[in-house]
This record gives sequence, C-alpha cells and structure tokens, in this order.
Amino acid sequence: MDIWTIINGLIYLLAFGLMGWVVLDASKVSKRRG
Amino acid sequence: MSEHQSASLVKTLRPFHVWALGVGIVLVGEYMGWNFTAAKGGILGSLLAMLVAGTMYVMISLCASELGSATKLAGGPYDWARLFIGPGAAAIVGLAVYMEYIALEAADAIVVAVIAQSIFPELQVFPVTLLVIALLTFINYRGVVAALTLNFVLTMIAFIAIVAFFFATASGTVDIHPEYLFQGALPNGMIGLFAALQFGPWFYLGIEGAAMCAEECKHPSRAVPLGQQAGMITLLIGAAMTLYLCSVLIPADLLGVSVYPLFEAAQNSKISIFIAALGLGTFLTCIASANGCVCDSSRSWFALSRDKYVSSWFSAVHPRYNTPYRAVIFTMPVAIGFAFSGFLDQVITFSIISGLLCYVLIPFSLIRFRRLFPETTSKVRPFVGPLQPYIAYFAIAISIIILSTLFWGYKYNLIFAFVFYGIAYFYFSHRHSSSTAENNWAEIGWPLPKGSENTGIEKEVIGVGND
Repeated sequence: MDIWTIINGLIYLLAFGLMGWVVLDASKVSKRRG
Repeated sequence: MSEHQSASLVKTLRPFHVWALGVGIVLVGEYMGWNFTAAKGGILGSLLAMLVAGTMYVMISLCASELGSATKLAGGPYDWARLFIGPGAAAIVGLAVYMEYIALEAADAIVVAVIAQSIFPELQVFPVTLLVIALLTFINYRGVVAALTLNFVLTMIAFIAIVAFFFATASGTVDIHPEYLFQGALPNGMIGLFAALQFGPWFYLGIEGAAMCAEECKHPSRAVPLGQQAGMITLLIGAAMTLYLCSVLIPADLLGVSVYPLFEAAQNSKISIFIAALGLGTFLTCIASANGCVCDSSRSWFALSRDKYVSSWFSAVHPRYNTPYRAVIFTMPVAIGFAFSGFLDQVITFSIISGLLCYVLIPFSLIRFRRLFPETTSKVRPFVGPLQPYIAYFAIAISIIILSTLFWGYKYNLIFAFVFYGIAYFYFSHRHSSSTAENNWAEIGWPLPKGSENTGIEKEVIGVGND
C-alpha cells in the first residue's frame, strides 16, 4: 500500500474520531440530564 | 433547577480574545479575495473600495461596540435587532449572521485543504477539509478560551508576517515597481471604480462578529469596545499595507485574478523568508477564520434557539465546558454540506449579501436603541460612540450603495437573497408578537424604555383620575 493512501486514511480516521468523540460526549451529557 | 437550566456560558474572555475573534475571522480577506477590486477598478478602484468599505466598517464597529457593551448577549447583531427592532428583523439578522459565518467556515476549510494539497500533491482535499472542520468543532466544543487563544496566536503570526514584509519593502530590502501603480491605475474608467466597491468588504468582512462573545467576556463593557476598535485599527493598517505591497509587486492585471495575492507578492520579492512567512500566514489565517466562524455561527444559532426561533433543543449549555455544545456540533454537518454542495461560490456570494444586510440593520438597531434609551439613561450604555446617530445613518447609506453594486454580476443572488429574507421576515413577524412588548427590560437590569415609561405614567395618571 502506498504511503499517501495510509496518510489519507489516517486523516479520515482522525476526522471521524474527533466527530465521534464530540457526538458521544454530547449524547452522554444529554442522557445524564434525562 | 435542572442542570440544563443552571449551566450558562462561562465569563472568561478578555479584550485580546475579542480582538482575536474579530481579526481572526477577517484577516483571511486581506490574504485573498480583496484583490478582485483591482480586476474591476484597477489600483484606484482598490484604493477607493478600501477607503469606502473601511469608513463603513469603522462606523459599524462603533455601532456594534456600543450595542455589544450595553446588551452583553451572545447573539450579537441578532439580539440587538430582537431587542430594538422586532422579531422579523431579528430573524433576518440571526439567519444572515449564521449563513455568513457557516459559508465562510466551509470556504476556509476548503482553502486550507487546497493549500495543503499544493504543498503535498498526494494529499486529498476531502479528508483534509473534514479534518479541519472536525478539529475546529472539537476545539470550540471543549471551550471558548482555548479556541480564541488559538485564534490569537494564529492571527498574530499572520499579521506580523504582513507588517514585517511591509517594513522590509518600505526600507528598500525588496525591489519594488512603482510603474505598476500607474499602468493599472484605472483600466475600466469611472464605472470600474463604482463596480470595485462590491469587493471592498473583503478587507473587513465579519469584524462585527467580535461583539458576539460579549456574553462570555469577563468585563464586556470594557472588553467589547476595546477589542473591537483595536481589531478595526489592526485591519485598517493591514489593508493599507496589503494594498501597497501587492500593487507595487504584482502588475494590476495579474493582481485582479490572483488567488493568493500576498503570497504572490512575496514570491515576486524573491526573498525566501518572506515567501515562507506569507505562505504560512495564508494557511494560518484560513484556520483562524474558520475557527472564529465556528464560534460566531454557533453563538448565533444558540441565540436563535434560546428565543425559540429555531428548536430550543439547541440552546443547551455543556455543564463542564460551558459551551453551547449542541449549537457547536450543529455547525459541523452544515459546514460539511456547504463545502461539498458544489455551489460554494454561490454560497459565499450569499454570505456577502447576508453580511451587507446585517450592516444595514446593525446601525438601524443603534438608532432605535438610542431612541428607546436616550443619553439620560446612561446606566445601560457603558460605551457611548462619537457623533451618533449621524454615523449610523451614514453607515446605512454606504451599505445600501455597496449592496446595490452587487447588481453587476450577482443579480440573481441578490434577488434570491431578498426573497429568502423577505419570507423569513414575514414568517417570523407573524409567528412572534411584538418584541418590545415581550422584552423584560428589568430582567437585564435596564429601566423601561422611553415610550413605555410615558405609557406607564399615563396609565398611572388615568388610574388616579378614575379613583
């Protein structure tokens, strides 16, 4: 596999990771509030 | 009281954060975009556009400082329109501010990705754009202080790069071409001068957003006017330096079509340190602008939600980070949608029209504010701008003139924007009753406005008479 394919893949992973973190945290906060 | 109700926006920001928010959003316009004035009206057209738009923005920022330091609310222009004009105007301003900043965020994220790709051609634009939007959403979600401190650092580096390049050029370190000033002075005659005005706002577009962090300032009555006026002075200096640098280093015909004019000017200087500094400045200023846009668009949506113009679900504040977290998250899908809609140029034009519409309504809010709360009730006005309300009237006139120049080239965008905001105006005016009647002035620590006091006195007199 080409190094740039891996880098692009890692960037996707990081972007979706950050999105996932904020969404999960927000849903946790919302649940706590009932 | 539930956690939802007790959490509120944290008051931690200082004047330099206000400066960073305002200048951070705008400085990108000095690195790119303003130079289309040169394509329309040459160097003289750029100069006129810079001066006319600069005059308008100084006046608008004076209005915004007075309103922002008085109201201390997160919605900024939206809240001023709601309090002093009415629900229809408030909806227009709230939506216009939201559209203005979210479209700019999408555009900035794409430019960052394109710059990254021009350095590393194998990088893809899509994942980098996603990463920029996700990262800035994450930072803004975690707290406004971190987000605006980051903006301060990025903006400072980008501004210092312009200043250093200017002084190096002025001191003779860089070879300049004064003949470019005369060759491209006025290529399209007087009509070109007038047409150039439509791109003048690029030098300063979005500075009014600095007042939108008022609710999160430690001392809003000091921080907002100080931060915003310092920001405006920074931008005026930056605009003058940028225009000088670009017009003596790039021929006017090439300047009008350049994508990154300051970077191109640095390339023409052939001094590697300035090429690197201005390249870095272009990159950082895009990130700073997108970051400020996340902050401002989320506050605008939060304020619209708090007053039930949109679902009140978005008005929740995070109990730990004290940020309007749902409104911040909501900027993410909308910005991604705009970025990959394929209509980004149309969206940006719409955002400029939205901004200009705000520039008509902000001074109008000030005129109404001064009528409702004249000088004698100075308790509500910690900052009083000079020569008001005359400069508010003048700002409205200049905004309308610049808005009318968009008829050349952007006729359909202009018509669409007027239809969109016209519908919004009538819909929200119908849905919400008169805001003046709804406003509880005592709740924000203000006395009754001028008209209401009289009405109250009259009622009392009538009551006494009846007894």
